[in-house]
Amino acid sequence: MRQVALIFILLLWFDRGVAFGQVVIKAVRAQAAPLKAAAIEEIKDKPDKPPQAPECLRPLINAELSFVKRVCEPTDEQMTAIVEAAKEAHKAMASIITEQGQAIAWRPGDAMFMGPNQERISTNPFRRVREDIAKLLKPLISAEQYAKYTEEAELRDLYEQDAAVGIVLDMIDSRLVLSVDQRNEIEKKLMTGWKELDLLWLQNYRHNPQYMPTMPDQLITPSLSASQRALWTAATQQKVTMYANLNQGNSSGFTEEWIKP
Amino acid sequence: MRIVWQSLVVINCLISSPLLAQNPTIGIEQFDSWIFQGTLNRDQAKTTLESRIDLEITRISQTVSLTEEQKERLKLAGRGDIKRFYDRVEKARQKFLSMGEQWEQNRINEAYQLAVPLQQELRNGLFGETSLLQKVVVSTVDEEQAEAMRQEAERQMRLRKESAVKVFVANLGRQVPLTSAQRTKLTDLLLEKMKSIGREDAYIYYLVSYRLSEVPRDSYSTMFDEMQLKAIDQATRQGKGMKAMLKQQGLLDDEL
Repeated sequence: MRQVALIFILLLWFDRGVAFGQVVIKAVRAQAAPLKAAAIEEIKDKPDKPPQAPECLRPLINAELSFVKRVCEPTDEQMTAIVEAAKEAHKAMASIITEQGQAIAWRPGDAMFMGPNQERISTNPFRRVREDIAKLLKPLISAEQYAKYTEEAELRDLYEQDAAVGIVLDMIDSRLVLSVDQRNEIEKKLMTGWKELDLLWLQNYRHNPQYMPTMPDQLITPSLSASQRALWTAATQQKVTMYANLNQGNSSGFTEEWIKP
Repeated sequence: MRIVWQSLVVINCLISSPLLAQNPTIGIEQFDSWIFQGTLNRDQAKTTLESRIDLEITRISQTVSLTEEQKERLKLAGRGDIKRFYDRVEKARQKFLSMGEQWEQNRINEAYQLAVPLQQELRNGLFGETSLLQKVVVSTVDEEQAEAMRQEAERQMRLRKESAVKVFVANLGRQVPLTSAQRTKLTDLLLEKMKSIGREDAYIYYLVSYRLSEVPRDSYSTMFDEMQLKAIDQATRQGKGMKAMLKQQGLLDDEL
């Protein structure tokens, strides 16, 4: 946020997974101090509201429960207990939806999310749902079932991280032309070192290849040559952050619904 | 870094779509922004394209060793590709300017269609197989170098396919819960069925779902349960429905 405009881009075509299309670009000059002051004013004196289970997270929870169903093969009784616990966990997730005007902590490289009604989500909702379900599962299923769930969840995370890192490598390669060794070296670092990376968030950049997300430079630049570093510095001058949008609509055709509206 | 959301200034930037062109006064800047996707003006795009020549030469140099003379020839060819592109842009601009100032919706679409092929060409890259640059590469390298380059091109293609398929499957898995065994089988199936894939990233998801729609259902139906299959059927229907768009974007050029 130096002299360049900070451009926020929101892809609105996320139907419980992925879709691409309509792009709305929100932009703000970082130096827009009067607007910022007005926004801070908004934060003050907000009356407390009773927390409500965020509707935009319900499809994610349902998908995770369906994942549980397939990898743990719980009994009907176990599944009923899991769904009940998930309903409670869903309510507790209200805390990740932030109020209008509320400032949220953000670090460069963090994926950013919004709900379908522009609800601001303060953390990666996929991760939050998966972590919460993993916690509630443990006392409700056998050790073997839990081990299976953990193993499958880890493999899924790894696959998603691999896919997301592939997008990042393509972005870097298209600007710097990486050698095979460089690509492999950076890939290893990103796989283990950029945990905040998220597939959905990154795809916005894939759809708008003229933009680059803020990346953890320390994982990338040590593998670059001097000339590539110069190109990298130039390519990353304009900091652009896009928001992944969770859409309530279920266009995937997957109709298993454990928690209903 | 803290972001105060309320302070966001909304700028409607859907300038790349004619749907937003409700304003009847469409100028040449708007036309240029359709071609250059709103983020670059013509001059900025030219500078970017010129730097891409160097990147292309760097990419080739990673596979085969080029003399300075060869590099100069490639640069010249690359500049030729840029010039040819800008000649086409200029021709389209002149045609646009000759369309007058009355902008009804059908004429807006007509103008937009003038821009689409150029927009697409720019997005796919000017230095592809049919470019002057690649022709000069072919005439410049010897047989051994040509073989090394062919292998490198295959490696690049394999990377692109793997990346596209993984992104598709990972996303599908967020909507349709998949076990690791299902994910692996689907990945392998798609990698086997995917034909060539370009550098165009924006439509990859649709392209892969379209390719899946071409796969006989019997070859994967036993991998999934009924509920999953229903959702995958829907994904393939969506993919099929994208055929015209994918064709328009030049992503199905390998099809007869």
